[in-house]
Amino acid sequence: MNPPSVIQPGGSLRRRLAVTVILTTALVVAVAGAVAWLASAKLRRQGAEASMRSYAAAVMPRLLARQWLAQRDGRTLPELLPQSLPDDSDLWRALVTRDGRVLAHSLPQAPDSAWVGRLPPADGKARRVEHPTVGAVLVLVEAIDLRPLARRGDGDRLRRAETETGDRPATREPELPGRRLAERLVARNEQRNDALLAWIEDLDPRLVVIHPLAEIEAEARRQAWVLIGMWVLACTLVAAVVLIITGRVLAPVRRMTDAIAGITPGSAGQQVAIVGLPSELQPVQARLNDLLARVDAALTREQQTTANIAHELRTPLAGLRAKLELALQKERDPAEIAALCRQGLGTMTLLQGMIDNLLLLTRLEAGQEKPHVQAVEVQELLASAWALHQPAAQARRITLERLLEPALNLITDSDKLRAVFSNLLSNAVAYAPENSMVQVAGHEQGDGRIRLTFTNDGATISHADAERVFEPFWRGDTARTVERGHCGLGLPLVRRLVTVLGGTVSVSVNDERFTVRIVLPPGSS
Amino acid sequence: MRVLVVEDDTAIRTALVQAFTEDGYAVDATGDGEEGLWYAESNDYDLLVLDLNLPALDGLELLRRVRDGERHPAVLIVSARDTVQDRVRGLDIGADDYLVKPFALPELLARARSLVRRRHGKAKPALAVGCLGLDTATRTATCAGKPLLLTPREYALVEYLMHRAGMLVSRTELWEHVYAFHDDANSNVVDHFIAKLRRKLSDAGAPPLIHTRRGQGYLMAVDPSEP
Repeated sequence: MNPPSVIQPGGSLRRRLAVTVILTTALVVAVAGAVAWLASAKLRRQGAEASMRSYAAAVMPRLLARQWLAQRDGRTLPELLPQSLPDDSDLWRALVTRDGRVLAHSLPQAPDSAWVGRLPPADGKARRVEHPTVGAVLVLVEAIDLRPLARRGDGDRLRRAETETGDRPATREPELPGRRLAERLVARNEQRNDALLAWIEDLDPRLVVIHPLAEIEAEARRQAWVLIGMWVLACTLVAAVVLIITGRVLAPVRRMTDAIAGITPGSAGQQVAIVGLPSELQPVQARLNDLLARVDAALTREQQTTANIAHELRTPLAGLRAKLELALQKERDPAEIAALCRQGLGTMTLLQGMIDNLLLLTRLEAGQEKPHVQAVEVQELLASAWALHQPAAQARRITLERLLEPALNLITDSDKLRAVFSNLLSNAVAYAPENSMVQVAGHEQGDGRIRLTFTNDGATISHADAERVFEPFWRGDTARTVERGHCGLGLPLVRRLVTVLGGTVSVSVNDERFTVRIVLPPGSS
Repeated sequence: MRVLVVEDDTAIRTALVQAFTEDGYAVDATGDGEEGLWYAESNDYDLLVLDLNLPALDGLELLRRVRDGERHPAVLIVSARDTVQDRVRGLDIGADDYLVKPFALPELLARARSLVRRRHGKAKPALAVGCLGLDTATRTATCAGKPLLLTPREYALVEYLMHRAGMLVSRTELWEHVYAFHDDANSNVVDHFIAKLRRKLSDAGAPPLIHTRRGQGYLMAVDPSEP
């Protein structure tokens, strides 16, 4: 027996559904948001790097051009280098030397040499670097190759080379920005300047392009917050939608629950009929209604039996009461009173028999009657049972035909089996037409079980109703035959007795012949 | 008054027959539904006492057919079926009263009297024509306040005539209501009993109350020119 509150292990279907959908959505949206955020950050950085590179590329030739002009005009490089940085970009830049000197810068504050010393190598890659005052910055370091400025040029060779190769930079090694311009400028040099070359090599100037990251990172943070906000919103929306949808989806279940709750015990004919039930729940409703119908049928049978018992007990009681009241109603002769008492006693006897049978039936149904087994010879037992009913049978000129195998023995409870025989013979004598024959056949089956059949010609019921004879007080017509001592308990008793003996009993009706078949085990347990 | 008892339990049937007979009713009884229907259709009963569980024809079906027929007896159902449903169904099919078994015999007889009274349009248990009084509850007759001793059969005759006071009652009708089916009598015995009744009444000093209409029947009235 399960306690009624077994809801616990399953949990709420709605909650499980909602939690699953919400978690899945949260995860998917979070991953998508993160991917989008990362992609956008990368794009932004790539944009920054591109602008830094294009700045570097634009600055380099101008640097060279200026240097060349300075050299031609006889001015010194270190003075001019800072001036050659164009001031037309929102990028910060600096010109630094190998030893960490800052020749020029557009930073709000001059970078210290330690910071300059930690700058990445001049490999053309942008890197994120912390700046002490500006914060995080993206730094691109480009080497400025001024050496050609110190070499002696060969203007004709350069011009030839340019016309021969055309504009095909792909065939050359990757080179520093502005190299070609430098070469072109250098080609005009008339002599080699060793001092300048030494100075240039010593100086090794580098262009540092600095992109402040504060704005970009602030933008990234803002985007992150927007994404998180959207994520929360999406999750909330999904949660709301899921709850509403699951509520809708599960509404039929709730309606069904209400409908089932509305079924009151004891009132018959109740069905769950919910219109527009989803196809998944329709089988549940159908099975439930099947169950209800079966319960109803059982309940109706039970009620019928109870009503029958009440009815069957009341009728003789009414007779008895009427007789006694009649006897007391007025002054009567002793003979008259005696007659009424005798009639009352007869009714009493019937009533007692009925109650005895009813009690026996109840005890058998409750399993209180246990068989007391002994060796039994069927022929003998049948003879002793028949002896009880022979006078009644003779009065109606009914004879008994025995078709029993010789020496049909079994180990069983002889009293109970005799009661079975007696009930069946009593029925047969009461219902068989006058001048007819009651047949009892018995033989051993292949499996050692013993099969007994009782047949008479007094079938008053249809074959379809045959099984109902085992219901207490059920009768084919509404008539009572209680006067013949048959109140509708005989066959229910027979079935219970045979069940206790470990056997089975069935009835059939064929051409007005009523047959009861009993199969008993050879040795009853 | 004539009663038909249709009841398949012998003990109850015999008890009812005896009780009704002792109360001066003319009683027919049967334990079979079809036979009961035949009785009810072929005789003019004042009261039909009906059991519901009957062989051959169910009590309710019998009642339905009786109500569809020509005759209109008062019907008292006596059944062990005691649910409200059963009672409502019985009354709705046309029963006048419903008594659940086991019943008290005096109650059944009182209900029977009441049903018979109402069938004849009387609500009061006491009947009176001129100086002749009849108490149907105690089954006693008085003439000018003095008790009048009547045999059960005489009482039955007086009761029926008083119920039909002021109306012409044919000899056959009177006979039908006072004699049971198996009573060995023909309608001529009615004349004999009427003669005895008249004598008793005149002995008690009453004016003639029972008048003969030749070829038509009897009339109980103070003034014979009434109808």
